[in-house]
Amino acid sequence: MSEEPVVMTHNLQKIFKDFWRRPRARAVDGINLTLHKGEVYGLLGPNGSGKSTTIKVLLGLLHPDGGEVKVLGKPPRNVDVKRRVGYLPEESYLYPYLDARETLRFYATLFGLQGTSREKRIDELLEMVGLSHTGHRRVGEFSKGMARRIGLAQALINDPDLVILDEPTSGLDPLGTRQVKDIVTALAEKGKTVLLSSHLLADVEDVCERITILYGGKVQASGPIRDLLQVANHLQIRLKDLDETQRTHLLDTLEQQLGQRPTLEPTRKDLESFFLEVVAQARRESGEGSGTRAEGKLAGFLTEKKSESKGQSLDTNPAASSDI
Amino acid sequence: MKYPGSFFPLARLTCVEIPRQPALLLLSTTLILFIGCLPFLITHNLGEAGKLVRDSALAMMFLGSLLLAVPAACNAVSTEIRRGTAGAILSKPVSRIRFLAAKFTGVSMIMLVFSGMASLAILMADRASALDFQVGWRYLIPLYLAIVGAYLIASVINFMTRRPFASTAFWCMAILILVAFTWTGIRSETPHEEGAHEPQVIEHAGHTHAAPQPHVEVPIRWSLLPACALITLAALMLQALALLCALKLGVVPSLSVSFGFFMMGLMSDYLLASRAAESLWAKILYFALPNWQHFWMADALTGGGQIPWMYVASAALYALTWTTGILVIAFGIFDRMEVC
Repeated sequence: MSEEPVVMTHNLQKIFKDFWRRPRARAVDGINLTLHKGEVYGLLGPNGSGKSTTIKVLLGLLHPDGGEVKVLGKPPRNVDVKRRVGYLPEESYLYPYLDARETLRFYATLFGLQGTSREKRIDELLEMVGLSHTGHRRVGEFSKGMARRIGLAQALINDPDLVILDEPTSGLDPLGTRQVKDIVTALAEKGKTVLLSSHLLADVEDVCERITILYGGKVQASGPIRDLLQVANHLQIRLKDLDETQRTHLLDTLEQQLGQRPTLEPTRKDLESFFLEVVAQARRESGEGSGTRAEGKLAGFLTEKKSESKGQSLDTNPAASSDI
Repeated sequence: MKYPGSFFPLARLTCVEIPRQPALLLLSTTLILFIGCLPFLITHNLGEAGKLVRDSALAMMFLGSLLLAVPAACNAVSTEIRRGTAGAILSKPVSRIRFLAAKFTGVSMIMLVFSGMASLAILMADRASALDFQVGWRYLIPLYLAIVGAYLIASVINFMTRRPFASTAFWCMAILILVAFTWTGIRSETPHEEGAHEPQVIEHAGHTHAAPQPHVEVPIRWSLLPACALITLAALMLQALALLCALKLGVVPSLSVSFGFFMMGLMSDYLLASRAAESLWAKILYFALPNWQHFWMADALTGGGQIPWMYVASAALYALTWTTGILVIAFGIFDRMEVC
């Protein structure tokens, strides 16, 4: 790809030191990452594998001890780079005494958003994450899932080009998880680059195109998810609406041709799809509950074309204007 | 392009967050109430009740300012770093220096509001204790009503609009104390006769009583304000020190170091002044430690004495220099610091 990568690390090293500056733990050891525009990239690994440390280096919160890091073509501590980055931390680090709306307003103001455009964005984001009816409730009273949702909203307040999501579905119910995955997919369709760190493999598998698996701070596997998950010399044939006679005939034919009798298994839904169907059915029958309400649809300002938002942003909305 | 605007939202957030913590409301209410109670607690002292009230009230303000400033500064930095909110903010387009400067400014704003409330309470308490053997209830009752009123208004607002009780009560208290002070001030605008301060003592059956003086107006002793301003400056200095400590230490160690520094500064004349001529280290330490004695001028008010505003200005310059030095060190440390 000729385009400059959105994120690039080369031989990234991070060593945590003790009080006497002696090495205590090598958290990241020679990681190479390249993320391109419009890509959803998964960073996988068990706890303590270096995912969050890598992300914090990308955000300029931790200093690398070796290697090279570039985010949007610049060093990560550059304040202008941070204007174009949205970050959802692993824990929802929020001010407990602020309400949801105040929280978003505060983060929006850090990006220079003002006036009605800011309030419109806040409304859209609250709607998107299903918290529009709890806008005046203190976030300290929120459940973990609700805190994740408001965290996601603050990560998108600046219409970022690069979205870094650290365990975005942690603490969410299956419905919320599905909505987050839909949002991630929609963001990528709009040309945003998403770096998603998680140890929930199903979530990553659903939305990521490429992944890197870390263990002990080192890259253990990396590449397109389809290639990595492919089982060599195993093929799958999918058919539907076969009666008993057709099935028997098919098996006999294949046995004659291939010299081995294949096994037949009915196709199963995954549990997530089944759960979502049941909840959707229940919702149709008994209406909305009192919890969060969202459809996983992207907020309006995130779906606007860049050229349109750029025209608006020159005088009122500096956070929306961004190019790689 | 950088956003100079990010300083103000951060400072404003600190101003919004700190009063929402119930500890600030409880501490400021207790201190102001205590200052307001001093006149009738000390009124039956044999003479010099006014001086005792003034000294005690200023001491309460000094202690209260330290108790508020140091934890608030520690909380604004140490807790934010530990809680992760500092990292979340620094992942936005906010420079580290701006973050720290905004935190200091935000805490200072709250401290100034508290100092303002305490100063007005001291002025009212002083008026209430001006007449020996009498309590000037007319100056105290508005103060009590302001405190009670603030809590009542905050309760109603909380019930009606769900606005946070603690911060609403804090801000209402600040406004109502100002209203109460203005009201009592306007009442004393009527000219009073010379010697009205002197109590009329009557003797009856070998006992001494103060004669009732229902309409004696006591003027506001504005000379107390420079003493209050000096205490506020001292609190701001200690707040800067607490902010520096909080970058590397937790809340409790930061509090311990700050109070240790406070004690050393109080005793620096005794411990270091004589040795400064002989030892270079003693000299350096003597000049590096803030000398809190410069900021405690209650004794200067005895016998109608005044603290010149020029003295306050020079003390402010000293405080500004010292605070700037501490903040520059803090900025240097924080800029290189890793924030998890």
